[in-house]
Amino acid sequence: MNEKINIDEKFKKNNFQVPENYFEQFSSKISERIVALESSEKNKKSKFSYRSQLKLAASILIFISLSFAGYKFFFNENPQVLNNIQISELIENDYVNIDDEYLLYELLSEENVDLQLNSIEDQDVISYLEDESIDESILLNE
Amino acid sequence: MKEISDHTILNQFRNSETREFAFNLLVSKYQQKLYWHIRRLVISHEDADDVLQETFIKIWNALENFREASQLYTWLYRIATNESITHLNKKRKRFFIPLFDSENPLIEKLESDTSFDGDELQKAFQKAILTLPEKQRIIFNMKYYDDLKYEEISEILGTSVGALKASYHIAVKKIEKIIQPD
Repeated sequence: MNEKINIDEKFKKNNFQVPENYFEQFSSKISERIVALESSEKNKKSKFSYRSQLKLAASILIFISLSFAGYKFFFNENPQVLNNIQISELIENDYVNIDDEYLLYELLSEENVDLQLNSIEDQDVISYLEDESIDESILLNE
Repeated sequence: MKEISDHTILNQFRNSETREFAFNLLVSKYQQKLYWHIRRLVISHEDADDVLQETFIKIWNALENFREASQLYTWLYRIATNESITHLNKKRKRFFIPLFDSENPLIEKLESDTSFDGDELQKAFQKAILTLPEKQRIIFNMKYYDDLKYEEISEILGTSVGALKASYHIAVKKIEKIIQPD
């Protein structure tokens, strides 16, 4: 009958081998890796620092540009004033949409606006209508 | 020669002028213990070498923040154990090895390992250890080979002493059952 095998000290013997001088050389191997690691970390840091400076400069430039544009927009000391001819040109070229009814309403609501309606003679009206080639029948229907 | 204390190594490491010297002392003091702990988990020398290097790189990066709340060597063991587990998991994923069959590649490695010079019974003993679930295998190795106290293993693995005792007892029974002659 076979004897029962117990786990005792005899199995503690190390049966694995390592290459010759492995432990003697390991320290220098790990030192080399750490030196390489440290230098790559330094490179990363210097790259990061360069990028950070670049980002900071760009941010400052954008901030100054936006501030300047904002200042010009809100506090313009010399706003461009359009004369009547320029306004007329803008309206005629359809750059600006003007609601005629609204415009007329606004004009009539102004107390001091003198449209000189009373001073228009009937003959002037007829002449205007003739010039504009407006069909009389339309006018009658209106 | 008197062994340099962990406290002295740590103090020297915190000084930027003696930092590298202190780290070399630490490597010299613990490289063999950590190597054998890792080697028993990953089996091949090449894998153990990779894991040991990664372990010491982690230690180099983290040692400055080590506050001596735990003992230095239990902290080192924890890093080595975690690195070994990470390494095994990576291998499992790379070769699509299912979890329930996870240790078979290690048994194959052991079979083909020319650096293993034990007899058939020694090999059967190693193979029996490799059939244990991963955590139980770690507990068994730490207790049986490294002779760590349960309290120390508890600190390393974050498992209660009671659970560790039970796990070790079950592991021993399993191994003994496997290596019994027919």
